[in-house]
Amino acid sequence: MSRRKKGYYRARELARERIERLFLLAEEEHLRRPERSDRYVSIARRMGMRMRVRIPRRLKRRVCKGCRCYLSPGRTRVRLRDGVVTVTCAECGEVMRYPYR
Amino acid sequence: MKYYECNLHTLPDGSDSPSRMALAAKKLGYSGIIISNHSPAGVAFRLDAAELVRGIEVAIGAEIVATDQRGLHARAASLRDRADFLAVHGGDERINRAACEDPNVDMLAHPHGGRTGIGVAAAKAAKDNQVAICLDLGPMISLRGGSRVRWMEMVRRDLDLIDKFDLSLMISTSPRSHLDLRSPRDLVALASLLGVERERALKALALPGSIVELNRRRWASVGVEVL
Amino acid sequence: MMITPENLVRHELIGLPIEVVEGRNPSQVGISGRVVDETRNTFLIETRSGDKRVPKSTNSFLFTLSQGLKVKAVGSVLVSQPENRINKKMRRSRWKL
Repeated sequence: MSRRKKGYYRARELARERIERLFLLAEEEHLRRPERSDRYVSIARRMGMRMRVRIPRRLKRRVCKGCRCYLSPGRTRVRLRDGVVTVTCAECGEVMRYPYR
Repeated sequence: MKYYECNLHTLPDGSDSPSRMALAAKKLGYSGIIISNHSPAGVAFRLDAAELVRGIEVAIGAEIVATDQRGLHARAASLRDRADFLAVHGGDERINRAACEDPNVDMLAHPHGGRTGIGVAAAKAAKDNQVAICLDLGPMISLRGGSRVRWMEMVRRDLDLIDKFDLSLMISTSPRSHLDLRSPRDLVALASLLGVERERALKALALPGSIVELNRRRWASVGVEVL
Repeated sequence: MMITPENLVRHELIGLPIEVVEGRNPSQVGISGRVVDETRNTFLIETRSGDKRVPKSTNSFLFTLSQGLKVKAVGSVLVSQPENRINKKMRRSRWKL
């Protein structure tokens, strides 16, 4: 990887922080306005893409891979079986499987 | 109306102390003066006495004399935080343009030094960076005859440019002693001889005050202040 | 990195307490609440009397940071999509627009 100017790294650091903050807000707002949570998630994703910043794994799993909506207890079905967590989105029916130890 | 004299030189650059200048300016009707000496270290001379003069505001500025562009930008950046007002000693064409391209600079003083005035490129840059141009009436008072005529021609051309690009204008006499000061009314009258309307001249006299006030606030970045 | 006055223009403004302190539309001056959404040109502010959408370019805003600091910002500096704002370079000095 080539060495970039200092401002470049600082901007990415800011991006990471903003993404964390947006997810936090999405969690808070979800009770009252679920559509806002979706919007925050979309901003976070777009920022991650633009700044080439990876969204942390634990945050990535709170978003449906199909419809990109914020997953919360109201919209999600979580089941554990045979070492695999199965998350089903209630909005679009997408099924996501993640292994765990 | 508040009137400000924006390019005073006191000891050691001039020949009078800040307090003497302040007293004289107050008598003439100024609301404030900006002391812009060529080196910031020299201003501290008897500044406390100037502070005691009531009824007139004394602001500390600096007039940067530079020989090359990089030096100019470096000095402007380092002095920006300490001075209420930053002016650049104009005259050389390259320095004029460099000053206009630096957003840290508040004002370009006497740009029509030798033969050249402000160029079109410099005027455009000044508009972008909001650098004001100071009309120095000192030569009008001290020059005579042919040289004054030539000076007036150059100034008229510069004023046209300022008009065309809608730049901010400021008026001063660059006084070096309290005897060089002229009252605001005189300055307005002198400026009208060069084609500056009364209203514009009055606005030009009040402008340094608003700039100093803006500079005194705490700024974190463009347009962002901390309260 | 906390939100600092220097950071403000590039940081996430959604969720911050905000107040419109100056503006061309007198009926908008005085709106205060939290920022809930942001578009390129507007803020959506949730106030006690409902959600209000105010334009950025014609107003000045006062934000309250977490340490209690109050920062006033001219709206026109904040005009941009929220995801783009992080990249904005601040080249001018201070109050110059």
